[in-house]
This record gives sequence, C-alpha cells and structure tokens, in this order.
Amino acid sequence: MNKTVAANISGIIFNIEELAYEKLGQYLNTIKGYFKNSEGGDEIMIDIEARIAELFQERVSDNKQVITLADVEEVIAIMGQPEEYLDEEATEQQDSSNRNKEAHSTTSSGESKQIFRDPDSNILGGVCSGVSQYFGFDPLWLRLLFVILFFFFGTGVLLYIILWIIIPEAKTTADKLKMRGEPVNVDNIRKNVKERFEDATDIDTKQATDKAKNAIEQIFDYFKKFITAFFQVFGKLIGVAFIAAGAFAIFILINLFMGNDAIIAVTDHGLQLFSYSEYASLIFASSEQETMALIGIITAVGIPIVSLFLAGIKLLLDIKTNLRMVGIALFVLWIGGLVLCGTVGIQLGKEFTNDAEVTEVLAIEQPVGDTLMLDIMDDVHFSNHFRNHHEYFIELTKIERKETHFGFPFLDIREQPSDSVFTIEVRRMSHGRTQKEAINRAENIRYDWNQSDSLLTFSPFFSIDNDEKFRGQHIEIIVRVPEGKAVHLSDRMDRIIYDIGNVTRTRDRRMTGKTWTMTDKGLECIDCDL
Amino acid sequence: MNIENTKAQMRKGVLEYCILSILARQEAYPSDIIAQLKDAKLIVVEGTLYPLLTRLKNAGLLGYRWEESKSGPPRKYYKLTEVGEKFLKELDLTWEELVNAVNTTTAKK
Repeated sequence: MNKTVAANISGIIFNIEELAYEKLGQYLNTIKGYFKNSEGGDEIMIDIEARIAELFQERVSDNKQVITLADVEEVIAIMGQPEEYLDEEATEQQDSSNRNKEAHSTTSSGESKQIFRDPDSNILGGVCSGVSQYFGFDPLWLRLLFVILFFFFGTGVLLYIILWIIIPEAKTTADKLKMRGEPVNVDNIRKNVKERFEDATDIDTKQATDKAKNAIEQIFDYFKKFITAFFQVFGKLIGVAFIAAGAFAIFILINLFMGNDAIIAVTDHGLQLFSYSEYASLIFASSEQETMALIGIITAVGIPIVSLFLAGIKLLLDIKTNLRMVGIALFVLWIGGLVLCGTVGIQLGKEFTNDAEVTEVLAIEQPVGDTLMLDIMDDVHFSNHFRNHHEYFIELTKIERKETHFGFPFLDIREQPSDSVFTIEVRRMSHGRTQKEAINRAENIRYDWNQSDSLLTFSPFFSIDNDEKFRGQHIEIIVRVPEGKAVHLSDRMDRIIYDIGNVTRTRDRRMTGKTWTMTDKGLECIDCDL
Repeated sequence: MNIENTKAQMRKGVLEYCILSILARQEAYPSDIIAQLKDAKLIVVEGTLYPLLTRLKNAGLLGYRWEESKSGPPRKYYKLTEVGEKFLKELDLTWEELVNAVNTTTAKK
C-alpha cells in the first residue's frame, strides 16, 4: 500500500502517490527554473500545468483513482524536459549556463523553499498563511498579531499591505510545492548551508577531473560558494535587524504624528515629553499649512523607514521579486514629501522676515537706601533646574489651554546714563511677516514684575495667548543703575540674568547672592571675597 | 558542428510558421495543435508548444478565449489576430521563396 497525497493542479484535485508527487514536484521546479527569467514565465507554467492536469484526468477512472509513479513518468515523457523544448530564449539560456545549471539542479531543485502568498487558505491576500508556511507555524498566531497591531494606529494595516506587495502569489503548482517545502528554521538553514558546501567541493573535484581547470579558478569558485553561504545566514540576520528597526521606527512615527500622545525628545536633561500637535498649532500659520507639513514630514521620514523595512523583509524571506516599480514609486513620493517640507519651510521663513522691538521705560519707586534688591517669583512652570537659554526651547516652553509660557526672559543690568534714579526697561521682541505684524506680536507679549519697597521681583517666564503664533517672541529686561548706587542679586537670579557686564568679568552664575555697585567703569562687587 | 543542434534550429524556424498556419484555418486549443504537430512529426515533446504560444500571444499575433471543459481545467482557445494574419501572409511568401531557393540550390548539387 502506498501513501497518497492530495494535490491541487489547475484547480482539480488529484490523489497522487507520494513518490510520484515528489517526482512531479521536481519536474515542475525544473521547468519553473527554466522560465524564471523569461517574459510570461508564470503564464507558461500555468498553461503547462493545465495540460498536465488534463493528461492526469485521462489517466484516472472509477477503477483507478490514484495517479501513480508510472503515470507521472509517462506524462513527463509526453511533456518533455525543458532542454528538449525547441524554444529560442530557453535554448539560449541553456547554452550559456548549461554546465552550472545541470550540476546545480540535481541537488538543489527539490529542497529550496520560497515564500509565496497562499491563495488557497487565505483570508485576505494569503500573507499570513504564506509567511507561516515559510517558517512552519500556525497562521493563527500571525493573524492574531496583525489584528492586535491594527489597534496601534493601524500599524498592522501598513505592514500587511507592504507584505502583500512584495510577496508574490503562488500561482502555479510549482510555486505551491516550493511554498510547502521544509520550513525555514535554524536547523534547516544549517543543513542547507552544509549541503551547499559539500556541493561546492563536489563540483570542484568533478570539474577538475572533467576539464583541466586551473587552480585559481577553482579557488575562486570555492570562495564564491563560501561567500554565498555566508551571506545566506548573515543576510537573514541583517534582515531581522532591519525589520526590527523599521517596525519600531514606523510605530514611533505613527505614534508621534498621528496620536495625541506625548512623544519623547532626548535632551541634555534626559527624556522630555512633549506633544507634536500642540507645538504644530503654535508654529504653523494655518491648519492647511499644518496638514501640509504633517504629510510632508511623514513621507520624507516615513519612506526611508518603510524602505528599510522592505529591504529587511526581502533579505529575511529571500524574496527575489523585482521591486523596481515600487522603488521608483517610493522615490517619487519621497521627493514629493521633501518638496512639501521645503515649501512649508519657505512659507514659515517668510513669517520671520521682519523683526520689531518695543521698548517700555518704567519709572520705579526709588529705594530708601542706595541698594535695590532683585529677586524672581516662584517658578511655577519650570523647575529652577534649567539654565536660562534658547537652547532649551522645548524644556522652557509650556503650552497650556489658553496661553503658552516661555521660560527664558533675559535680565541685564546697565548704567543709567543721564539720570540718578533706578529705571526698568522692558524690551519686547518678535518677528513677523510684516513690520506691523511683528510690532503687534511684540506688544502682545505679557510679562509680570512687581515692587515692594526696595525689592523688585521678576517673573521667570513670559506668556503669549494661544491664538498668537510663536514667531521668536522674546523679552529682555534692563535694570538701569545710576552711578554710585548698587543692586543685590538674590541666589535665584541666575535663572534669568544673562551676560551682565562687570569690571571683574565675573560670570553670571557667580554674580548671584552678591551686591554690585555701579562705578564709572562698570559694576563692581562690594562683598566678594577677592 | 552538432547535427542535433542544426536539426533543432531548422525545425524551430518552421515551427512558428506551422502553428500560425494551423490557427489560420480554425481556432484551436493547445492539445489540438499538439496533435497536428505530432502527426507532422514536427515536435516530440508537448512542452515545446507552451512557451511558443505565450510568446506569439505576447507579440500580438495570437488572441485567445477561455472555454470550460468537461474533462479537465478550462481551455484556452487560440486564434490569429489581424496582425497575426498579416504576419502569416509574409511568412507564406518567404516560405515559397525559401522552398524555391532550397530546391534550386540542392538540385544543382
């Protein structure tokens, strides 16, 4: 009694003896290999398989329902080996690579497994079914994974479409046989590599006796085989790395721009959370511009990531499909994304072309003694931890529902030129598309300070309304000190003081907690240990 | 010089001409064509026909339609297109010329 296998050939189910099935598989593989590179190869395969099905049909009856090895051999004899075909292209191919092909096909035709989408047990495009057959596990797990990934901003959908595009469908029986070969796992790869090595040495010795081939060519051949085997394993590892990196980046990208979630920025002070959409509405002039920028950034950044992912899958699954059209399409899209980014960039640049500075000079109540005390208010929005600098834009910006606070006002101390009283200057600065707009934006900056007796307290931040846009708004406070009078800087003042000139060239950070007198040369420290 | 190779080359050139001629008479599906070619001893193995048909079809010389079959998978019925008919007419002329040429040259020998 022989074991039989049920096989679907051109849509008709045949019961085939196991040995006969193997033989048929090898035969179809040989033909497939033959027409692999010629135009319409798939179609030729489908036609040939249809004819084989027809011939099998003639060989089964109610009395004899199984296709035997003899039947298969008979059909193969009728159809003939591809070498016997009187076909121009195929014959040329054969002539050029005759020797190699024959030597190779004897060992590798039956065992090489390829990935295909399975059209027979599919739910959508047969991607999960095909991939799981390639690795030899239950497709249910993969399908589950895709469903779960679907809920992460549709990552699963994107991934599925990518796989659908690059994995070819198993159209012919030869494809299906290759699809069902031994699963690709570490054991089988190792076995395959080992066989290839043995194969390589085999061919070499055979050729050495056949034809007196020179030694250099032999070494070169062996080296080539070694490199191929090495890259087979190494390529898969690189593939896995590419896929992991690509998938992670896609996930982050989608999260970043599509979700409302806070995203992570790596800064000098560790990980900071901020939301792209909040910043976007603060910066972009209109919602149309915001959408343009979003699409631009996603294509410009996303396409290289998707390409990396594609390359990873191609390497891991050993897909030979030519993706030139997909590549060109992606490249064009990518250029489009860059153009979009550039356009928005230029538009934004125009918003910054004019700048304005609005200075307000404020008289203050003169202190009883000669010394004015300077301090800052409690920093409710930003921890005192941060140094006062534009560099920390992200850390020093806080977007609330109605207004946005910026934690980098600058405070300077300068000489009062003519008068003998303390004054304060508040300089509001902004950029804008027109001079008028810039002035308007500058005037809309809110800044808070107050005085009680000889103590002046300054806010560590300035604010704008959220219907304003951020156009480089900035605040500079100048405390004017008449000659002979002094200011005391509290310990906390290093939060806002910026590059105060003094006689001893003491740095801002070391100026706090000290009292400074204005002399004709500049500020001089009274209570420093020098 | 390999005699088998030369024979194959000669047969190959004629084969396309014969396929077109068969299809010029009537629509046919591959098995019909194979039967006629086998009778004429032009081909030995059936596989030969399929790549040729696909190539002729892709070149626009042949068209086909599907027909259901009671005893197997659906069949492709091929027939000549207009381009194919023109192509065949030219081949007819060339063939006559060739036959004349071969006859005159071989007769002198």
